Amino acid sequence: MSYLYRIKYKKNGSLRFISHLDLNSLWRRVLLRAEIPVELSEGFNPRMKVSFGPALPLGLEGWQEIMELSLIEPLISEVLIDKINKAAPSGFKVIEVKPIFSQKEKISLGKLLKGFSYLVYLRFQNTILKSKKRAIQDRIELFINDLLKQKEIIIAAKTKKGITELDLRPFIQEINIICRSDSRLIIRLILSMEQGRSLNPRLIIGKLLTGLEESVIIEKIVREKFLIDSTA
Amino acid sequence: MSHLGLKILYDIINRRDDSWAERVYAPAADLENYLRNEGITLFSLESFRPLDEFDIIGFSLQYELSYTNVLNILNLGKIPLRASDRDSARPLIIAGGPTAFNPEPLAEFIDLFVIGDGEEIINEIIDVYKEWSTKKERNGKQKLFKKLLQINTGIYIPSFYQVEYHMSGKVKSYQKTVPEAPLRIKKGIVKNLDQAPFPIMPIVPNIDIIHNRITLEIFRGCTRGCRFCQAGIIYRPVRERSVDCLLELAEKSIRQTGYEEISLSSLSSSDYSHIDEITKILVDRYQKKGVGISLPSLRIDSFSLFLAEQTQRVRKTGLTFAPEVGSERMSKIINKNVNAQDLYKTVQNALEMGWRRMKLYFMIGLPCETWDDIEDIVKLIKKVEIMGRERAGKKFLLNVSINALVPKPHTPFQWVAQEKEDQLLKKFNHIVKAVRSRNVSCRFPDTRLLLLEAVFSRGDRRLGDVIEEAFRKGCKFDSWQDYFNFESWQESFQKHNLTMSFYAHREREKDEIMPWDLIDCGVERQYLWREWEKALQGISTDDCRLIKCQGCGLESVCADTGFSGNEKI
Repeated sequence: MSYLYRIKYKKNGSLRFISHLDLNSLWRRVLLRAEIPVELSEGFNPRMKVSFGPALPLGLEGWQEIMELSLIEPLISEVLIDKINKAAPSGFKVIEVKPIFSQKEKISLGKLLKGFSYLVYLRFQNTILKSKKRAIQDRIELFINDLLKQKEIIIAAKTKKGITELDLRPFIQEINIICRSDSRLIIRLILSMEQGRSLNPRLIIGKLLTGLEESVIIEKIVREKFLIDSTA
Repeated sequence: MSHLGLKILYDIINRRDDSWAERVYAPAADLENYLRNEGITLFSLESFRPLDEFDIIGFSLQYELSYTNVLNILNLGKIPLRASDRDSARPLIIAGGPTAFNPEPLAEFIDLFVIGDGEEIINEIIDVYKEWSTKKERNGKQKLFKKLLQINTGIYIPSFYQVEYHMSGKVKSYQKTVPEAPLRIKKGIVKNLDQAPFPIMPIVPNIDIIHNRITLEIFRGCTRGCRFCQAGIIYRPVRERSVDCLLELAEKSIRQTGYEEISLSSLSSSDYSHIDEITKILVDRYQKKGVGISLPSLRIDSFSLFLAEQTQRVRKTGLTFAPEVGSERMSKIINKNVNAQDLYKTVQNALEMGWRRMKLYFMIGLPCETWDDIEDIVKLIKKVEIMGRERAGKKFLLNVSINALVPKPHTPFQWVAQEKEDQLLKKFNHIVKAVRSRNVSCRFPDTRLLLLEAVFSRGDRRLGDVIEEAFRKGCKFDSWQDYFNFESWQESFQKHNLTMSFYAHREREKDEIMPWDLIDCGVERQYLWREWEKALQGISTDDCRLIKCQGCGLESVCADTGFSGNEKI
């Protein structure tokens, strides 16, 4: 008998520089230290039965990342959260644990995933004057509106096969400025999955900041949450 | 981060209430450029504290070709390079590790070397330092140094000795500049490993590094007595951890770190008295939990193969053997008593058990080596290749790593001239050509690196100028091909009227004063000379654990550590 749990966790601070592959071993070590009774695979080299949601691009914070693990005995969610968090390094924190009971709920994450919501924190270079800041913010806002009106946004994207043309427009659901102050600008990007592909938000931010690279610094980018199809 | 010695010391210091240890590493070129351009002082990884604000900075000296990195780290830490240019307001610069057994090339830069096991000495240094620094007037380094001398073992303070040289460049004498300085520096020896501190809570990195696993030191020292091997001498005598102690350390370490692999580490793991017992218990206890056991440094025999089989079960990664030479004659000269027949038998067994990848280590440029011996290496490689191909066809992969002898201090070969680079290259190339096959890949080192390693291994204090010169010319990470700049090294030697050949290619006289004579590693020089003479006569020396004590000079320490010959097997 195995007991499946879906876990939401946060990965921020300097842990945002940990790659997906390293995150995998970090998780296994945390689970071993926390003495969580994780189910092991069969065979001579048993591995913990854990699975991860889509990889977070390197350098991004994730505030509601998702992973699933299978235990050999049931644990109360609060206990699981507490045990894991006590064994976790700083920058890594479980925020929600949900046991999965029914077959219906066991549908793989990939099938339910519709897209992601990102937050982009922008800051001005210290040398920028206050009056100019406003102009820059206005310009970014104009850019956003302009971008949303376009039918297609073709860029040259690097792939494994070389440089190909990529249309960004179908991925973009929403772009909003959610905070505008003297010192910073926070933008929310909602990007959908298209034919199983997701888009690195940096491609859109790069487009928005064209010509402003000297005056605006990307402070951080956050994958705020996963958009899950609730009708399935 | 991967090195056990550093983890041990880091742990010891951080267990104290009055001090803490942090880490700093030589930065890669991109970070170095950034630090230099922005005027930022190199800082520690834990608290980002600038290097020059620390009380003590310790370097772990693992390899001669890292000496320019030591200088670069000091320089990036905004600390004057030369000990004589640092007053008592500057950090105390100390160093230890295997190459500290010939500390002389770095003598101008390092205030104090720790010779031998550092577990006990490091605490004593901190105690003395603390007492000195809490007194209001931090009155002079001299006073601190003299207090440090009272530690008695393992402390070498180069500024307390003056060296004179003959016209020929050989060392004429070492003179003490203060009466308190010892005539010779006895290395530190931890007598009981079960009672020695061991880091069960090492730092677990969040990204992958080399040797990213729990390292359990099952014993220290080695009694095999291979004549080229420095570790086999300087880590004597053999001190084992008990099975109970190891099991406890393993359990605690797994709980604390969450690592999925334990490596049982030593210089020759098959020689541990209870190796089958410990392996079996650990495998039984942890394999089912997803924690694997690995055994590096195994001997070439069926017993070792059995152990490897136990730990690896089905997944057959690579097997590594180090026959070093191809002929029985040479094996007697280097006193590594493996014969080709044993190797073939083990290889055959391994193939039948399903191993498909093997690695062989060889060493050339050995004393008394002839072209026939090189041919014997070729024959051995070819024979293994044929065996592998017959059994596994294209799937068989044989990696051959050929190295050359770099004569090391405190070994029976310390008197030997290193073979010239062109000759070594000829031999390398001959082997590579002769064994060329799709199943075999051969590697050999850059002979210029071997030359420099040989120079610094047996170098004297005058090399300090050369190292500083090379550093000023931009040398660092010398063992990395993309950084290595041999021309700068050549210019640096020229500028200071020294030659590499004097250090590398010169045979030493029997009674010549060696730059490392101040350092007493416990093994007597007469013993080393006796071993050298036996090498020339092609006579091997028995393992003192198996047959009888060979009188290397450590008898009283052996008795003290509870070790006696003939006690096992």
